[in-house]
Amino acid sequence: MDVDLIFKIAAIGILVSILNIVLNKSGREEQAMMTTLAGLVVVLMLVVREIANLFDTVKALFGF
Amino acid sequence: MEAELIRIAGIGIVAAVLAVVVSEKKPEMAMLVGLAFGALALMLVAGKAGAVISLINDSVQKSGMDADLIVPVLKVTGMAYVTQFAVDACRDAGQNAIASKIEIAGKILMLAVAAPIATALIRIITTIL
Repeated sequence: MDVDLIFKIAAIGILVSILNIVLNKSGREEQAMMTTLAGLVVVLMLVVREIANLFDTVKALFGF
Repeated sequence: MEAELIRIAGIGIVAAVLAVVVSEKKPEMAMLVGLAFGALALMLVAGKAGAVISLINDSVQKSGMDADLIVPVLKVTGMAYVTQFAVDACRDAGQNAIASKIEIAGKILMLAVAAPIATALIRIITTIL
């Protein structure tokens, strides 16, 4: 089981929030927003793949 | 079996702590942590569910029951799991309206799958009468 994925997502969340704070403090609000958005998209890609995997498994399991 | 449960329980606690830590600054990341944990935990037990389902299929075959009757039952069970997963994810994100729409869609589709069984039952009853 890929426990790493959970840690990875949490790490990306912490990293993005730190980047957000730093960029906000130095007065780059637009870039801060962009980093937030990029982090969200990256994590979403990871999670969506896993969910698609799960739904495929359920589909194969219950035969629909 | 017990090893998997202990593993899922431990990872669940760790994921909950991580989600709380992250949710302070980024609530959307906390939701994704929960979602990833859900997908991973269910994948871990999917193999066991497959064993149970093949057991059910075996019993049905041995009992000489019509195999077509058990297919919709399994199908509805799977659909219920998928619906519940999506609904819980939406509830976690605070989108109760979307969650209830998914719920309604799931119910309608499950009913559509289950309807042929009901008609089959009615047909059997009419042949008896």
